[in-house]
Amino acid sequence: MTAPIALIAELTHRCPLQCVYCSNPIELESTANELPTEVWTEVFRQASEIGIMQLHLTGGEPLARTDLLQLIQSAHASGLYTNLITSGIGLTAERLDTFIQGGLDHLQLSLQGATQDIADSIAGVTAHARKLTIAKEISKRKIAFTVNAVIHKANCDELPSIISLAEQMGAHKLEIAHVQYYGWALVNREFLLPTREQLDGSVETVRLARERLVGKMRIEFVVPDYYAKFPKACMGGWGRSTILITPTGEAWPCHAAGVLPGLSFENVREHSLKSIWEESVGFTRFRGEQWMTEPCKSCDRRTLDFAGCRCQAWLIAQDSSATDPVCSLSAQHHLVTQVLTETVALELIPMNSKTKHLWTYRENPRT
Amino acid sequence: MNLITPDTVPVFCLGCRLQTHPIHGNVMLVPEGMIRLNETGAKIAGLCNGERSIAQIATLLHQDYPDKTEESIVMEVGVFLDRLHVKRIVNYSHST
Repeated sequence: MTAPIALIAELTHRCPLQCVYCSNPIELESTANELPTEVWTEVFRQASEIGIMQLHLTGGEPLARTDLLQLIQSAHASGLYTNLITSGIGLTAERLDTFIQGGLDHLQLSLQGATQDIADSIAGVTAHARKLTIAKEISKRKIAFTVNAVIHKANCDELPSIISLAEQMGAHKLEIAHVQYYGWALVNREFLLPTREQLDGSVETVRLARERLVGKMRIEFVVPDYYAKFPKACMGGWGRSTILITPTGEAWPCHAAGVLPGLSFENVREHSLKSIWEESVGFTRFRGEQWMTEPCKSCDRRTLDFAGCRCQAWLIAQDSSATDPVCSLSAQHHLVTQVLTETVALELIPMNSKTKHLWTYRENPRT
Repeated sequence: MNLITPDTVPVFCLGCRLQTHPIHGNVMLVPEGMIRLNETGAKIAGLCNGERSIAQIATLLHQDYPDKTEESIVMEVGVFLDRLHVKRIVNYSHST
């Protein structure tokens, strides 16, 4: 067993945005059940003790927590490298200054597109213009700055403009991530899945931009695994590097693990992170290779991709121990091929204020 | 890509720092990630203080690696730093 490296702290499921591909679960946690400041502080202390170095403060929108500054300060005091993952809505120049003074190491700002109509239609609210304003404040300050853009069928064709916008914003790094199909993205999959031509176009656009921007802006790129020959090494392997804490304190091995049947996850209110990492069923169930089935069990790639994603195996093939069906060697691979054939044949529905009614928007949790 | 010379001064980019961790050893912490460094990598990174040039770093390293020529150390330091530059962990400025 390796020591964990990263802690993803989903501080809240509240969010001013309602993105159609939100990775939060469909069953959102209510505000009243959110962990209080002192429990998070203790979690950060324990995290550092068991080897975690990177902390990702996320949500929902972490800025919705009024104690965010205290959380950043306590994370910094525990020696964690602290990343804030935010829509920027709710961020002001003054608040940003307090975060930087409090020890924030890095800020990641999301973009939903390059143009206002598309971006705001994806977010379900008016947000794009406010992001451009706060980006100016971020780039003026001494803080590492990443722009994150999720791309899909409806905004893939404006990728060159997204890259230009990130450059104008003064981002040091740009993360371009094709949608992964969990949570709300799975609900909207038929509208989001890009065509093969779009995917190939995005690969070429990124290749050229990387060449042009080397040493200036780093570009990270996540491709949609439905088109891949082999699955992604989801989370770098189950229970190998990362712990995710939900707003109410459950420890999950990934963003989507809550969908898996027959698995229970322990709560940081009742158990130490150390025991959760080392002994809990939630983290040991798919750790290592013992649980694997064929063709993974005897496949040389099992040490590279760890059989892919357990949640995808369940969501597509209804078998959480199966080979990830996106793998070309999976006995269930035809299910993925079928989805691709059916959905890419659909006409592209432009994402704008006129077509908003066709999409399922992420909701907000109960209070 | 910027061309580097022995006079080039490597500077860590914002949000990038070297840490010696009790469990993970020598690591470069960067936004949302980390890179494990071997002993030599950690030595080079440890000598990057934003003021020393590659030539000055090589001179200091030469004390630990007396069998190598200083020229070859300059080359190796350059190759190592370029790998970090491509990942936008190190920037270059030129001393005058």
